[in-house]
Amino acid sequence: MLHTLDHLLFATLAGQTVVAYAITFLVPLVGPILFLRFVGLKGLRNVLSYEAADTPIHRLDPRLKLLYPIVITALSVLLNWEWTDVLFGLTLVPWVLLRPSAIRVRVLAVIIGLPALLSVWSQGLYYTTPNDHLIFAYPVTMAWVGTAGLSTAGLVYGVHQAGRVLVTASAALVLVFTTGPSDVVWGTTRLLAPQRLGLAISVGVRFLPQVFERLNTVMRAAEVRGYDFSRPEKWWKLGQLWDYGRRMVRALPLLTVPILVGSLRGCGQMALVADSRAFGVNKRRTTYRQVSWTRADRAAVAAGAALVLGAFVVIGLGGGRF
Amino acid sequence: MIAEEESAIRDLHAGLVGGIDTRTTAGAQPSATLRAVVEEFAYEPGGRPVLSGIDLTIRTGELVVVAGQSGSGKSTLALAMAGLIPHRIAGDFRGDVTWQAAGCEPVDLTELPLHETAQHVGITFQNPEYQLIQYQVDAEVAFGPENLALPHAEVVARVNDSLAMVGAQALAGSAISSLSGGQKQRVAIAAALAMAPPLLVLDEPTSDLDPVGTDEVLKVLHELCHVRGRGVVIIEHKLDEVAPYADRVVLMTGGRIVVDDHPRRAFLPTSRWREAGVRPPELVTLSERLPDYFDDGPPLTIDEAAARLTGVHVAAEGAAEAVGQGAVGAVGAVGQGAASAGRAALEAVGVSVSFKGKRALRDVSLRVADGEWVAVIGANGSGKTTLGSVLMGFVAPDSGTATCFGRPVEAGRIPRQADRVGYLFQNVDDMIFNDSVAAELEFTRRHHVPTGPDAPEPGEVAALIGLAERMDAHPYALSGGERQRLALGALLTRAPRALILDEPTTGLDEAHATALFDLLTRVRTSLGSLTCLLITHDMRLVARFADRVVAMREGEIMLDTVPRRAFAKPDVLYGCGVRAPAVSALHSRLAGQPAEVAISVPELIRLLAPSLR
Repeated sequence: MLHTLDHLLFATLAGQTVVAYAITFLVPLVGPILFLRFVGLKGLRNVLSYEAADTPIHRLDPRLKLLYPIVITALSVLLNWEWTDVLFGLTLVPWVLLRPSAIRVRVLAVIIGLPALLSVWSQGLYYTTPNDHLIFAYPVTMAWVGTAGLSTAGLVYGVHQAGRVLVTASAALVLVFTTGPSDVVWGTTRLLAPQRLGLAISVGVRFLPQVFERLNTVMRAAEVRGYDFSRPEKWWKLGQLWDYGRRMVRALPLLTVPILVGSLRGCGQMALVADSRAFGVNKRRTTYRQVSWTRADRAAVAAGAALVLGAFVVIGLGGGRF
Repeated sequence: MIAEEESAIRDLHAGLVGGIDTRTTAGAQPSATLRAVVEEFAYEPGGRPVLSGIDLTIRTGELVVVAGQSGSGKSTLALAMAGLIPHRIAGDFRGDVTWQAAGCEPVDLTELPLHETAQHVGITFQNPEYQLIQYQVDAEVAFGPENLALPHAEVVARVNDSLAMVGAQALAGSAISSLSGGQKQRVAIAAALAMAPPLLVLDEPTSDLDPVGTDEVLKVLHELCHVRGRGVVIIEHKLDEVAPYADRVVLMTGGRIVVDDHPRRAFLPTSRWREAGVRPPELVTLSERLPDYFDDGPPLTIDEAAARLTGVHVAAEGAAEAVGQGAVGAVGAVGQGAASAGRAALEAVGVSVSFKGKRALRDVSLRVADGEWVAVIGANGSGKTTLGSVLMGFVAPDSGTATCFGRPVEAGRIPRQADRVGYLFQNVDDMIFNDSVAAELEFTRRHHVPTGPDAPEPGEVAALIGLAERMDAHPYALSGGERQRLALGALLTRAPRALILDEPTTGLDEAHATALFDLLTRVRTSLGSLTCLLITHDMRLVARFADRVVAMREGEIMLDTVPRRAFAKPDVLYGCGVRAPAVSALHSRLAGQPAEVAISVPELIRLLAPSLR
């Protein structure tokens, strides 16, 4: 029985095609399924939002937390994959200090793990080297996909890259999880020399929720006019699915007009406000909020400096990627 | 509570009862003057002048109200006073705007850099949403002083002082997005104040606010003016509310100033205001009709009017009979709540809704009969819009049911009920999707939206909404009132039998607001029957057009009756963040808590007639 199945799947063109389709299309589906099962859109909003708590990480200077993922990502690019994995282990230290709840850990694991999984899959299919060993060679019917098949070298490379994805995601989520939007804005404007860039980020953070709210209103307004955004009740009926997709695509310009017009009008007023409040008059602005460094900040800087120094020593000793 | 507030305003106007302004010395001493002389201003060279022949002087320590129909040039004048014209807004400007502090040489603001002008004249715009550009309140207020590179201690002092001046210290650490409309307006004022301007220009600062919130903002402005010595210019449509606080009233029409006087003189004759498309305060209209009692000038507060009418009795037969004599329109036409007995058009039964753990509606039951016009009133955040959203299917109730013409409202399946009920959003620009009036009215046909056999042709709708001659015009080239009519017309293309109108008159002047409701009346006649659920803060429209009033507070219905009975319960209304129209409040005061009150000036005069001398 098993032998027959093995023969059918791996020795016949039809079977190989089925397996190739599964590798190409089912594996990426694991991501959305896991995401919907363990996170969901509401969960994503929760997990990607600041959660107030009184931990040493929460109390750190926002600028340090903004720099943290940047430094870690840079190191992950410079270090070889073994040391990147070590770096990933080190990025888990803040999480230990944060002690997130089991639910949040599960959600975070999915959020961090999914990109890693997709990285391994995509590199396994599309990272090619001369004389690749193919674990599974795609049949001629899958030539249109543009890959010879699933390669060992690609999967290994994917694992290496996944380490970098894990490091970046882990460090970035510490920032998101422990830093309020106002702190992010403040830290960004303080770190960035060009005032305009700082203002742009501030305005972006301020108005992002409003744009989504407006989109919701405009969609409702279109629905009141009879435009139907509802998903097909029987999604397996391709006709309904096609009609749904067509309606959504045709709605894009409809929805864009009021949002764009409203935003442009708002921008005009914002520019007047910024001008009348002396924006850009002085090269250097003073600051209302002043953050004095605590022992925790100094410890964080020391730890960061040690990490960077250590990483360069490792790179110097041959642990680098280049 | 209301008595206390009336008393406060009475105190405020203690020096005015005699008819002549004595307030200029009550609070601050004038110490600086702004003079705007605009020979002409047009947005395009050679184009139609938006301002012409303007010569307006504003002193610190006085509160000046600028009124006028939409398009009369009020906002443009505000931009010129704040230096944004000609600095930031292109156009053909001929004139001078000068600032002169006591003992100093005058400064030409048209020549001054904008950030320096902002330290003489601050401005806030109609929509606070787009003038708050920081994430958090304290950061917003600090933004200006930080840009001026003031020392840290000075920045902190300005933030604290500015927030204190508008009573918003407790909001310092709040996210802007979490604030109510009134709170945002206060923060916008505080942010302008942080630039330390002696003069503040505010473009419709209360347009989104409920009546009690409006009063709070006006008190803040009054204090800024008369206690702290700032000059305040308010551009406003709500003259009933703002007149008691004003030192001067300016009327603009066609880009010119046609009235500039003390409020006791400025509003007379009221015909001049009506011709300019502006609704004068009701109490002034009343005083004009009863000159024997108001020979020393019109009253600006209920207390003043009641004092002058001492000894005059309101006819005991009540207001309803007066309506029967043809005093007013819609209420009399439909009858005193009789319409609610018919077939239900919209119905909510035991509806509760929560958002993020906060109850927006608590076990609300409301039945709107076919053909009935029901006004839902209440403070910002009282649940009015949530109730409308449940009935339209925007929001699924946590418990309870909603029906529309006998069929359950399916939350999220909006197109399914949209052929029976239409929803006019507060911001009609959110409802405009196309590049011409014709395309907008053909939306349903173009997108294959099913319509019933009664659905009118786009041309018929265009004629009904008065845009038949402008079918090729771009919607954004229309005026605000025309866009409102277009949005309504777009809904009418599906021949809905009911409409839910969410704050349809916000930002509209009297003429446009009345025109909108006259249009709805024509639609009702044209369709044979039209049910309306009107969510509004405009009590005079409620008095004029609603068959029934539902007052809400914190997600519950506190009052459900005909307008004349609702307006006879000022304490309940105040608890709901609402004030009765001035004429109804005066009737209550004169008659001592009657069961019903007059809802228009002619009606009250008819009731007073037997005892008038």
